[in-house]
Amino acid sequence: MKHKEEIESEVRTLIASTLSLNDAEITGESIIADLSADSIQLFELLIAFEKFYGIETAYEDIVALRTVNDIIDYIQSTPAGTHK
Amino acid sequence: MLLIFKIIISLMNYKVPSELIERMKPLPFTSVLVLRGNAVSDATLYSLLTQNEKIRYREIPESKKSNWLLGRGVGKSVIHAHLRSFRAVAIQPHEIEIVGMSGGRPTFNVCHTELGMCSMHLLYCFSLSHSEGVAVAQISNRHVTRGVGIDIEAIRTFPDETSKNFLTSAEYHHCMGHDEVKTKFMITLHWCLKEAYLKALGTGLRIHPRRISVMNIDEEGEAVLKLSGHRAQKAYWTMTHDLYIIASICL
Repeated sequence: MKHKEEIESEVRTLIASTLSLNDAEITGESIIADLSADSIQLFELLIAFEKFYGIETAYEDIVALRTVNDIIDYIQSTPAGTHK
Repeated sequence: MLLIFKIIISLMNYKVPSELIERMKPLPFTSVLVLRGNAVSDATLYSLLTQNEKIRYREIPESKKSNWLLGRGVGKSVIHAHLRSFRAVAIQPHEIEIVGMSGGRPTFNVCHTELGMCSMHLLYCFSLSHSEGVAVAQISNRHVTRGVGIDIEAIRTFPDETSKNFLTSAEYHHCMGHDEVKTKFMITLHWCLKEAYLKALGTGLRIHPRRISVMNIDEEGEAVLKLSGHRAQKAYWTMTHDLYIIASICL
């Protein structure tokens, strides 16, 4: 099981690189839809999470999450062994 | 006193700073407007926000603020114009508050000084979209539709992995069977149509775009989409400013 700090770092890096944002623009309370420039970027972010963490149901689950903290909590609570 | 008088005059003379899309097929009791970011300043758009929207604006990342304001501006403009046309009432943009509902589908409240706050989601269906400095919004009377969805996209190159993720296998091969310019156009159009449908359904990306098949696209601005388990759905599309595709659906 990864530590929360490690997951938080990975999530922020994925968001920053996929959405072309500065790390400073991303907080735990940031709303994912607000960070995305448009729906295509949001879709690409969802695919990036699915690919990085290799969780089969990630698309449907992650799309329902609202904030950066929600994503971090979701990934941390996903059973060990489903992460890459 | 003079300041208040000036504000009242300016609001009475409020003009919708948008261009009506002439080529979009006319839909009954429906209004569509498109607005370019360089047509109106951020300060003007900010002045149209309600107090709640100004609080919300502060939470938006700096690099996204202009597009967010543009979306609010065109949304309020289309609501203002629609209510004036179909209800003969002059609700001013600063009295309209655009809010998100569960699932991300937007709706709006009218904040009237005498009537108080009235939610409009039972009377109207509403959708908005923005892309690279251009925004578009659509409103329709609830009695003619179960939902509306609109999407605008700048014609762009998609990473191949992204295309393969949202297109069905047949769509992917169909889009790739053209020269580079037409391929970009076709892939963008497919995304635009699917996104408009997902907005009309009120699910957004909770339904994977690949579950929607684009059955037919004609040059006259019509298309047919099919979500697995649902009947075929007609959609409309057009181009604006030669750079953007707009797709619209009324369920």
